[in-house]
Amino acid sequence: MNILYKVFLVIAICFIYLPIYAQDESVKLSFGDSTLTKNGNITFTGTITNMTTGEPLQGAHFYVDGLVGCATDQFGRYFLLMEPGKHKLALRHISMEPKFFVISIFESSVFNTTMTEKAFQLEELVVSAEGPAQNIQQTIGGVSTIKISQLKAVPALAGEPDLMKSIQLLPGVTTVGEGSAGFNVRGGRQDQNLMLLNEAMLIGSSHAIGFLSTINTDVVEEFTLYKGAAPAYLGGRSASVLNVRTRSGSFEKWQGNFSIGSALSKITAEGPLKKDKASMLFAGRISNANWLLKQVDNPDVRSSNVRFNDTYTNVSWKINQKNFIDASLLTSSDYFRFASQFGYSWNSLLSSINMRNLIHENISISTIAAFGKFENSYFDYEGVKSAKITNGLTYSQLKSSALFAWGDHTFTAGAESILYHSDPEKIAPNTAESTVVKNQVQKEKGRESALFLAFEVLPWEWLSISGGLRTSFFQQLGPDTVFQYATNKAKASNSITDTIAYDKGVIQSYYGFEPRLSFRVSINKNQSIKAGYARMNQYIHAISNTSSPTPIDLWQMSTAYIAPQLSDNFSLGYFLNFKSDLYSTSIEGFYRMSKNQVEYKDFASLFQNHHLETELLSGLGRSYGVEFLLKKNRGKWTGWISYTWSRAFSKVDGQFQEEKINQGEWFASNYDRPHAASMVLTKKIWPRSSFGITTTYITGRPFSAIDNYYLLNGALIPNYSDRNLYRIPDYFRIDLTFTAGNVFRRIEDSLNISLYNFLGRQNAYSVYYERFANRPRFNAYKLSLLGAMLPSISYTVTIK
Amino acid sequence: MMLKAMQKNGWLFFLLMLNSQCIEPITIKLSDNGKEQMVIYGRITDQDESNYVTVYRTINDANQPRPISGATVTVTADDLTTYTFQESKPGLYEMQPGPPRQPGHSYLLNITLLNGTTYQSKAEVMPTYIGTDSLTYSISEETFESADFSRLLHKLYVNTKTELPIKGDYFLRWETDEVYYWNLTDFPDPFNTPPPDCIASDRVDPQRINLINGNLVNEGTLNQLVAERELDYTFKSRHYLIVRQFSISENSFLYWNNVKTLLNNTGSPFDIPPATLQGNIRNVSDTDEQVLGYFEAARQSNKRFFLVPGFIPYYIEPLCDYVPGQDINRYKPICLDCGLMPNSSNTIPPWFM
Repeated sequence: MNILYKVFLVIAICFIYLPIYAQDESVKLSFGDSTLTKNGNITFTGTITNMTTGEPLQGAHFYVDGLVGCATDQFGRYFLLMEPGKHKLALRHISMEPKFFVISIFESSVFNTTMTEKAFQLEELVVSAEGPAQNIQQTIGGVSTIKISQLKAVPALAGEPDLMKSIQLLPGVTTVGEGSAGFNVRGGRQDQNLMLLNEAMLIGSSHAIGFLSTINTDVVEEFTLYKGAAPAYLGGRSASVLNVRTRSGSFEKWQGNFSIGSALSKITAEGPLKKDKASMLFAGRISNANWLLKQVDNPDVRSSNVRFNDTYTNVSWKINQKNFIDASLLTSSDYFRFASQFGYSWNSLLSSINMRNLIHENISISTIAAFGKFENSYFDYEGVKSAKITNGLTYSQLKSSALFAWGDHTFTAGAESILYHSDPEKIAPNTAESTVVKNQVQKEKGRESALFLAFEVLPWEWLSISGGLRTSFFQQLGPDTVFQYATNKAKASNSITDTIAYDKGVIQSYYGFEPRLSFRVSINKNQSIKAGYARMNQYIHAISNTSSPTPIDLWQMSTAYIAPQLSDNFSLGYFLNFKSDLYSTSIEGFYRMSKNQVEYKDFASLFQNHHLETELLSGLGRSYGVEFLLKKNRGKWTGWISYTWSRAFSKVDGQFQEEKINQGEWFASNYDRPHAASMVLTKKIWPRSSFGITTTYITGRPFSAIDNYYLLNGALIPNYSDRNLYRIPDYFRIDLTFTAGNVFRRIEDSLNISLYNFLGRQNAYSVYYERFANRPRFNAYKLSLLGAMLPSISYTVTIK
Repeated sequence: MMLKAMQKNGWLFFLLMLNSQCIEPITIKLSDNGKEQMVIYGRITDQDESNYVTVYRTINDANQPRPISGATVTVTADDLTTYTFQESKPGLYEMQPGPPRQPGHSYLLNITLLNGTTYQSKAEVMPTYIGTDSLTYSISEETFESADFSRLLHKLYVNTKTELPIKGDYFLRWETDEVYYWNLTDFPDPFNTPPPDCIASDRVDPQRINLINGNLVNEGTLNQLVAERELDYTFKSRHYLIVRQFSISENSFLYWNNVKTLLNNTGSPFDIPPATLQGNIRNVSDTDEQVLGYFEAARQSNKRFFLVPGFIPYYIEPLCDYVPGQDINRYKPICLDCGLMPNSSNTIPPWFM
């Protein structure tokens, strides 16, 4: 009895003192006069920002008296309805230190606060595609959000954490191969992914033909990939949306870092222009691979030149608690010249101004004005035929939206317009001896506009619905010349019957309704089912008659002959977390149909072509698949395993024989890769080091093989199969990375060693045929772009 | 060729230089979908040579020609002049003497097989423009290296220099032939009778496609390599190199440009994906049949030069020299029988000496 009494006493004391201890960390706040008690609910609202960067924090959760209250939106805003009185509040975010409050509230109040990033110790090593709870609670399926701190733990080419390479490790995302610009989402083409930088459209996002993206991860806060069912306020491409959010510079103090690596060097500097009011951030990267060339015996390689660089500059100004403005500029440049024989270059620029205004306690306005430019060129020095060909696209974007938050419900309405202006495609002599005719082909102008209304409502705890409608419009603008073709022949240069010259004004218009609907049904707090549907239109298209897209692709607008691409995307998924969110799993199925998908005639000639429509074909697309994901969210070892089974087909069955591919039957698209699996694992090594390993397996992509041969005027000509009947060998790669923190005691530094393609596997990029001497047939060869292990090392010093 | 390949490859070539083991042979298991197809190539020119039509079926390698004999082959001009072609060897039909072909006129190929199947080309207009080449050559000593061995070889490079007119609607293609005297083994005999004359001819470097589109170049001088060949025992006696310039139609140019694309495919990111070449010949009664090949009407101009051993600064190993006491069976068959040489004849062309 005595013992039982003592146990009871200990437990009782614990129950009494633990809350007191907990409350010791709580901040006590009071709002309103307790003597003027209101009846009914009162509003408690405000904005949560990152203390270091000043950026609004999305996805922070308020817990009221132990129950989930609400999450902050993309502007960091929250909105709670509560009864007057005393409440305990907990504010949590996956990568921020939690905060606790005890508030006495008696009238509607605004409360803004900040959160501090968690220390490096654990959270920076949590590699997960998204927060564990988000997996269950998020309304839209097929959404992956990666924090940049998570991305840095993933092994990378040249030791540089890369957004594109990380995305390719997510389920449902593949790529045509190394050296391919972009990625494929759920059977979509690369140009069907909308790339946004703070919601401003980005074109031209690759360095070194796709080995690296132009977005410096040092300035990225997080990025979100919508695989099909994007909210209605995002649109313009028919497969996916990748929204990258950058951060502002520190409002508190000047700081920065610099890094020297075997292939890349970079610097970041940030600080307050006016403390707590305005800040700036500058980040720049420059390749330093030329010294490697000097080590090669071949004189041509030694005299070659390869370089790329990018910069990002941001200025942010907190005008007051309700108004925020920032301006940013992203530039990137690539140049490659082989000896004095030929080369490529491409440059891109994106500048934007973003304003966020809280005009009412539950209404905020966001406005973006952006200007972008992308240009590329190919040049050679081959005698009289030496030429330089340049292409480009310029665009201006304006987008404004209003967000109304009411409790757990949010409504977003707005409009967007983008004016495109393709630069003329120019060819000019590149050397004095060249006899190439200087010429230019005029390209189109167009305007894409959209009105949208999106909502996310939570009628019951177990059900959330996200949906909306986007109405998009596209106008091809003059002045331009439109060719007329004979109706009884396939479109070709010899079936042109007339030309119509248009002055300024609208030549051709398209519009599209894009309904979006997703819902989540929670079975319990650890399980949910999500379903979604989205229709998406696309009015500009990357034109590239190569097996995989390249950075020197043309961008072509919809015209009277090139209809907008349209896709219908369906998805259904089951999400399960267990062991207190230690593990997250999901299985998602998708089905996607698309129309007016751009395909190419065999041997399509795209450069210096006044009537590109004669080389393009319009087809149907169909893809479907199932994605599995298992994640471990905490512990010494974290990471995920994903597997996707999917198929992607195209069908081009035009009116005339020349407008059919594979006799008008369905055929595997270039990016049809049925099995894709990846594993990402990271281990924290005490106290400030980490080890990461990724493995990737993908079925080889389809290609056309030689079926037989024939002799033509003495030449042995290979006769190829129908398009994409065969497959190149499967792809498998293991990467390793090790990061050691605090290499030297007195400075904050880190050393990264990465081994890309650790096994040195000669993974096939392509299979091609070559005939040597007078052998009676062509031999097949497997080409590997990276046929060996690629080690890299970088050393970074952070100054605070 | 090398330069072209590098241009197409760009980054690829660069990576290969840095990491030389990125290409390796592979075996592709073919399905049974590869079907047998008809292959027709025909050419008619304003010259009395180079007018021929070949009728074959697709093959599994170059050593397995599958000629189609017994076809009736004609070319009809827009003025209704008909030119007949006769089979000179299986699958090869050569034009019989007829009225001269006129630039600016269009020509149409008709072929009827023994089973009655008829093939017809689209009409091709013979261009009016033709340029003039001047030829140069160079000889060099090179080392051929493979994974297994290396050997020294001597190479001949044939170059043309062409004065291009002002930008215009002309399309040119070049090909190179060789005609050489073949020394059969001269066995001693009491009457000192030499072996019969033997003239052989062949296409040189047929996989090289030289093209120019007059719409893309201004007037100037075009220097280009048109053929490359190893100097072997065939250069032991007089050896002519003939460079033929063909002025072709735009459609013909596009076709040959696609041939060139196919032959230069190297699997790089910038490669145009390979595909079946579409020609201008169809089965009249079955339009779904995919017929390979092309019929072209071209203006032609020839330039030639010759080499004799004295012009070659390297020693060339003889192949057919008489060796006293050597059994006749130990001689190479081609040393004994002119008919085994490519396109051989015992008649020496009048221009040869």
